Formats: sequence, structure tokens, C-alpha cells
Amino acid sequence: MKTFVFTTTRDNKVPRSFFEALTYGGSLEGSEIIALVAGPLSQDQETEMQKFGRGQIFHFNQALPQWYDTFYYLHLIQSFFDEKGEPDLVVLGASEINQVLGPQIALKLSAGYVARVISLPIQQAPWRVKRYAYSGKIISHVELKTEKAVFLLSANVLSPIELGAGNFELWNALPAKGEGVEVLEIKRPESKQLLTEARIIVSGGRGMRGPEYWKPLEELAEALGGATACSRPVSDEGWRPHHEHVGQTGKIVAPDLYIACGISGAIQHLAGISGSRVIVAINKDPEAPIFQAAHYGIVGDVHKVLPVLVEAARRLK
Amino acid sequence: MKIAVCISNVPDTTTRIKTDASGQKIDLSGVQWILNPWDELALTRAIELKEQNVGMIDEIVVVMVAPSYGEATLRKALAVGADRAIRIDNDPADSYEAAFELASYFADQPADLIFTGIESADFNGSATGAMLSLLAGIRFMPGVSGVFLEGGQTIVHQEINGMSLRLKVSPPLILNVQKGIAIVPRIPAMRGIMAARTKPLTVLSPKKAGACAQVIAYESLPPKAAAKMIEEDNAAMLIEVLHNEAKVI
Repeated sequence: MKTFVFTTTRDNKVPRSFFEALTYGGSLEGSEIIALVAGPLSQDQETEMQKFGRGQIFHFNQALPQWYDTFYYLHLIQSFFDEKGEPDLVVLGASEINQVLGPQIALKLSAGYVARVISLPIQQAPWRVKRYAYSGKIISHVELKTEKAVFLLSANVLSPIELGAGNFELWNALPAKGEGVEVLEIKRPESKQLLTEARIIVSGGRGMRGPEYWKPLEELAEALGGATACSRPVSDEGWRPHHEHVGQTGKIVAPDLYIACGISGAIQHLAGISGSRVIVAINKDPEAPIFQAAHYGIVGDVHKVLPVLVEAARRLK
Repeated sequence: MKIAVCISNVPDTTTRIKTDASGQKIDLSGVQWILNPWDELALTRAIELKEQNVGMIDEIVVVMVAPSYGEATLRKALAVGADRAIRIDNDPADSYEAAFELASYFADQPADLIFTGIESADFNGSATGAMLSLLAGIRFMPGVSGVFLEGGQTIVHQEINGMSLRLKVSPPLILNVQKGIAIVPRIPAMRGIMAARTKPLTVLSPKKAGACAQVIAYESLPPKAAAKMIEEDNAAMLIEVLHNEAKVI
């Protein structure tokens, strides 16, 4: 069984979700990995690739289009399949780009598509996997009617395992030209980490009282090497930028650690964080629903608690 | 110019989701159905565009693939401001089946701008728009957080993979919309509700391509232990516990 894994690079790096997908694909019986990494990479990333790699990993070492052009990526992947053969299974790590590509690759391969897969397959013929449904309120078992399958993994469903068995080589193709789109402006966000990929997230809600009180929250995120986020009312009020909004209509995140500061835990917010491994709630209201979802909690004033946490986190380092 | 908004009928966010006696189906009794939150924002933006660009947009059509119980939500979309509604009479088991019905419809009834929400709050597959694009052969714009019309051109704000872009593109387009496309969803006013009663709602027979995937069982979430509480005066303990016990920092 040929298993295809794909990722694009960002800031010359491979996202962790790629190694999660490699580990997933490599855990299946009879699976032979053939992977494609598109975009420039820094030197140290090639070492990472050797460490976590398995099977054959090909590197398309060219600058990627400025805007997200689905024709470009589909053409690239199609050229790859034309040369290396069509896979039986495609495993994609959680990323916004894979979320768009997955359904289209599935159509190209006449494969069944399952998004947000949370476990290794229950069985392989026919394919049967588990995923979250109804915004994380229930787990569904999905069975495919097709021989081929495309799985988009949820973030953080497994930890990448070092195998050091990857063969890494360059691969080239003539890229398709995206036409009819004019790029007027490109902005890079202030935060380096993507929320959807961050391992640690410190998030603030209305209980923070106002944008001027965000400093200790940012300091805690920085001390822990994490990213900052917020609840919907906070982004709607304009206290924080929209791209920080975590919740049903914002970003769906699955970090190792999610620290909710002054967030009451509306069901829409919980829908966005239910995949987190450990949730910490800090809130002055002991009845706040966030404590039902949390693994650790402090009932107290965030403005008193946060500076203490910042200091302790810095000491830990 | 014609705008189509693909809308989905989903259980209200606060609905408790439980299975029926068989364990294989969601118990839909007592479910309150709503317009999928992202589709609601897409529709809101479509209406704003029509209001802001007087005379430019001929009509806004809402299209849904659903059984008859979806019609209440379609009527709501009409009350909010859509001009007419289409219901394709199928209960799709997966995104492919839904996308196939939509692609067949748009092959027959093209639109310049087709809005799809980034995901539906029931299956959360985030796949229908991308599949529709490939099946219909229409350019796909993912991660759309803003859309404006300027002299026959469409200006699209795209936020994806940590990048924020402003692009100029020509229709036809499928705009997969997310947060930011509109801020406050429109709610129906009394006049709109009255008008919706006489706006056309057409039911079309499905093509029934068949699904590639189906849910065969549901499983409840594993029970969660109560949160371990730490005293406010002892807050620094939290960092220690996260380091030594939870091992996440």
C-alpha cells in the first residue's frame, strides 16, 4: 500500500503536523511512505527530516505562490502522481492548506475523504476511522465505500516518533502558472506561531477587562514559548485581532496546553478547544462552565494570578 | 451579477447531541435547526454587497441540499434578504454527495459569486466548497475574510496559513468564507418575514451521486474527571503541576 503525505513549508520550516502524518502513515500495516514537501527549507530542517522521516521524502525546493492557489498545488501533486504513481492512501497533517487540498485530492483519486481523524484506522478494508462531529460533542465512526482514502488528521492526535529511516531527495516539476489573480497587498501577522499549530496557547476573555490589561497574558505566553489567543467577545470588541479568536466560528485549536484567562467557557468557545490535551481555567466565577472543561483550575482574579504565573514560568526556564 | 449562497441546516450550537436507541443515528427529535453560522455570515455579506452596490447585483439565491425540514431555515434566509431559495431534495451522507448536487445545480444555473461557509457545524468536514470547485471547474478562493466589488472586479481578502492578502480576481468564483466576512449576522425583520412568504422556494429533484463515506456508529466522548483546583494564593503551584504532573511545559 502506497501512502502519500504532503506538506508545504512555512518560514523555511516543516510543520510538526507533517511528522504526525508521517508517523500515522508509517504505523499502518503494509504502508510504504512516499511524501512530498513543497517550498524552501533551512539546513537544520533537513536534519529534522532525517530524524523523523520514513520512506521516501521528496523535496520540491521552489518558492511557493504568494497567494493560496489551489490550481497550483493540485497541478504539482498531479505531476508527482504521474511520475511516482497514484497512492492508495493519503494522510495529511492538520493545516489550513491541507484542509483545502484534501477534498480535491480525494476527488482526483476517486477516494473517500475523512477530515479531522482522531485515531488510527479501526480497520483497513473497508476503511473505518474515528472523527469528531457536531463541533466536538460526539465521536463518529466513518466507513468508506471506496478503496482509496484521504485522511486529514486532527492536530495533536499522536506524537511524531523518531525513526531516522527516511530517504530525502530533491524532486522537481514545472509548476502551473496561476493566472487571473492580482496580488494587491500581502501582510504578515505580528505573531510568528500559527494558533492551529501552537503547542501552548494562553487565551484571554472578557474577564481580562480590556485590551490595556493584556501585558501579563502576553508575558506568560512568551515565558512558556506559546501563542496568545482570545474569545469571541474580545475579538468582536476589537480588543484583539480577529485571527486570535478561538472558538466555533474562529480557530479550532488542539495544543498540549490551553490556558483560559477570564473566559467563561460558552459552548461556542469550548467547541474550538475540545481537542486540547490539558486545559487550565482561571476565572473569578467558580460556576463558570470553563471549569467543567478544564483539567486544572484556579478560582481567582486573573490580574493577581497572571503575574505570579509569569514569575514562576520564568523561574522554570 | 448573480450571487449564490450555499447554506446548510444544522442543529443549534447549544443542542445536546445524543444518539437514538440504535447508537448509529443522531436523535433529531427536539433539535432546533439553525442556519449554519458561517453561511449566515456569508449571506449577510451578500446582502451588504447588494445594498452597497445599488443596481449591480440582480439577485441573491440561497441553495440548500436537505430534506424538507430544511425549508424553515431557507425561509429564514429569505426573510433576512435572499431573493429566492432552492432546495435540492437529498439528505447527503457526506461532503461529496452534497458537492455533487451543488455542482449539478450550478452547471445548469451559473452564478458569478458562489459563497460557501468554511465548515458546517454538524459534520465539520470543511470539504464541500473545495469539492464543488473542482467538480464545477470554478476558481476556489479559500480562507476568505472579506469581499468587495470594485468596477466589475472582485476584491478578496484571504487569510490563510498565517498570511493576510488582498487579491483582485474576476468572477466566476467560489468564495469559501470564514470569520471576518461579516461581523454581525442579519436577523429577519418583520417586513422581511412577511416578504419571505411570497418569495419563491423551488424544490429540485436530486442527482443522487451516492456518498463515498458514511457514519456507521457514534461514540460518546470519554468522561472527564473534575478539574484539579489550585488555591489562588498558591497560584505558582500551577506552573509546577503543569511541568511535573501534566508534563506539558
